[in-house]
Amino acid sequence: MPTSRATIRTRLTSRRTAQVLIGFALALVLIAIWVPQQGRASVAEREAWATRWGPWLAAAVRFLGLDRVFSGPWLIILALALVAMIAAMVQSFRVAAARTRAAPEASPKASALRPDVSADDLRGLLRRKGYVLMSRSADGERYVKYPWGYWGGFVLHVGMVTSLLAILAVVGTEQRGGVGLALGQTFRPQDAWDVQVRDWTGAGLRLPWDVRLDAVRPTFWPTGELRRLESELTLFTPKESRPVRVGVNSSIVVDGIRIYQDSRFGRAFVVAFTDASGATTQVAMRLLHPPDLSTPSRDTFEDVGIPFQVDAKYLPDADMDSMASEEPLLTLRLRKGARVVGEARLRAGQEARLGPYRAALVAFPWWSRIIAVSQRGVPLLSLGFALILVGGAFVYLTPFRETTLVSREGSFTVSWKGSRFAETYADERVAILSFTEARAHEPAANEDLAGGAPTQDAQAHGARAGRAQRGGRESEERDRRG
Amino acid sequence: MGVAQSIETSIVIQWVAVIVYVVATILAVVGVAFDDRRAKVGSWIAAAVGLTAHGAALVIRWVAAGHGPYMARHEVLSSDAWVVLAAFLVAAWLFPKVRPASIVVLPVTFLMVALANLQDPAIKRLPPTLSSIWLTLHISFYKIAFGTMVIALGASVLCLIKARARAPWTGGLPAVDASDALAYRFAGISFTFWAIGMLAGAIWAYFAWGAFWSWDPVETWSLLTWLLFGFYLHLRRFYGWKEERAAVLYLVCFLVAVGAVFFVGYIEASLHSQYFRS
Repeated sequence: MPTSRATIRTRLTSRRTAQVLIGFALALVLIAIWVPQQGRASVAEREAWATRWGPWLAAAVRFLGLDRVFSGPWLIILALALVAMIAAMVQSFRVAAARTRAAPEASPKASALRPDVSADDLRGLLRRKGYVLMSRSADGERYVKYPWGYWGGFVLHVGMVTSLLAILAVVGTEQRGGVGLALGQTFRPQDAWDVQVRDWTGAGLRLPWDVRLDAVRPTFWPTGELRRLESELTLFTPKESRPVRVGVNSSIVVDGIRIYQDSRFGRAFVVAFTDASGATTQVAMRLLHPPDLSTPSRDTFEDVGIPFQVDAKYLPDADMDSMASEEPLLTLRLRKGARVVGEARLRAGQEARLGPYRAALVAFPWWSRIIAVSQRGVPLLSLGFALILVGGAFVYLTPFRETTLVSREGSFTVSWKGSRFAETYADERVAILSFTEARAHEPAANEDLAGGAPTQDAQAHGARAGRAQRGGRESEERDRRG
Repeated sequence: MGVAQSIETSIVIQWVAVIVYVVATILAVVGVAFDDRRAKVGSWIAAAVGLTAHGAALVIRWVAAGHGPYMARHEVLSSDAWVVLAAFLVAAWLFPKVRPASIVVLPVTFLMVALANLQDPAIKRLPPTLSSIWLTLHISFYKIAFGTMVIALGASVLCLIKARARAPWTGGLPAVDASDALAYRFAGISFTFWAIGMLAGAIWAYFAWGAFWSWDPVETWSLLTWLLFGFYLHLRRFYGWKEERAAVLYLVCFLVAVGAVFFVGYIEASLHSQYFRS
């Protein structure tokens, strides 16, 4: 039998299809984060990845197009997943709207209202328990507790779709650059970043101004740990210069670009190496600021203009007194391979013999690293997250339940329906259905929970229900005591 | 009160709280096993007293440290335990059916506090990257998520005990389907709060260094845990997993969560290492 278009549409928009597509999309996004993508990662980064994970895996990744998830055929899966989520969102809207507008309808399990109680008694109980009248027809009424719970699924879906679109926008449009600057150093738009992330078109971040580092201001706790780090910068264009200040957790936005203070900073030591002939080579060595007074920061420098490796060790204060001292202690070791040629300690303005050289500590300005980011979609992402939170709250914290009264042959039938977690508010169901001839007798399990016997409670409550006001109050008190 | 004295006072009070929690546990077990109302009431009173003392200890340390209890391992464990019990007491007030889970929640609480007291109590100063309201929200939501997770654990354990044990004392436990429903609901609540915690962390990271997500090991394991819980909820919602099968899966999820929260930061280098390592 030929498959109808309706059947195809049903299958394409079915929950199983949506789950499979979303699962695929999630896997692709994770792969895209693991595998450097063409256009975003540099050739060097992709080669480093191939070296690390092996040529066979790299070849397989290229063959399958997993290094072009956002710019190749796999984009179709991502698009279909988005379509599936949108279809699910539309479907959840229809379901929520239908539930909200639904007319009162007796359930097959409805029970008749007990002859000794009135519909007004039940209405009073429902109101006290927070039920509101949602719909009324000629012969029935539908009361709902937490009617917004109908919309939890829809709000969740809207949040997920919004967040997904925003994430794609943020990731796709993000341009990022990080650079370490020494005091007085200027970074120009045409200069190369130390680290860079390009957007989906392959374009890197190009600042519209020169940036000069004017000051680095670290402050420390009495115990020596870093308390605050700020940098003062000047942004230059041909027309103006703007002094700005950035700090850790205190970024600024200038011309749509957010500038961050990285937590990495230290001293940029400049050491003059003078050989026997009097020729001097100045070597610049940037070291991270040590974590405390007694733990040095270390690094090794090669290809610095002299035919040796330089091992450098830096303590913040030669007198071991202050983390922000202007008397740092620099220890240098000169090596050729494993053979140590010389070692020297230098303080401000000092010089010492270091292998075949006279080494002098010329300068040691602070250096600091700034990060600049340009991206779009962040406000939309915030909105998406907020909607997910609201939807989750509706679904898990305020699940809806309904009580329907339908008049029949001079009396009423009552039915109760819960959504998720119905067992967690069984007492509420028992209290409501105790007004019916079914008396809502629950199996022994529930009788253990409240430290008493809801069945007995329900019977006692029902006997007093003829005195409507008092019966309702006692039931609530029993519910409260659990 | 000096810092050293504050630390010492805080630890002493916490040990007192441990003893009170143990008393509460014993009373809870007796109350549930023998359906003894007085023992049950006694356990709630003891838990409330212990929680108050424990809270005072945390406040003393908070004032001395100048920041919330989220830096050193000692204060992280202690504050997590406090939130677990506080969340449980609130849940027990709102949902009386969850009260028998006290036989799981109370032991978890006192074990965490005892473990905290065995850690180095030295105060760690707040680095500049952690000076943010988003960090406070991030950690608070994770603590609440963990608290509700332990409640769901309690309900799952009750479900398994009731389903498998035939001893007379289990008669006082909730029915399998009732515990199962509670486990489901609290798992959903913890899933939501875990998500909120991750989102708050991402926002903090964005304002701190411009990247919502850095694939830090702790971040990655947190995401994997969340996905695993999502998988659990999905199986329950759409494939009808429930009762024993769901309870066993929940135990696995919980163990992964414990690993993600308490162990990954020690095993792997991470942005969170300065937060986790004492």
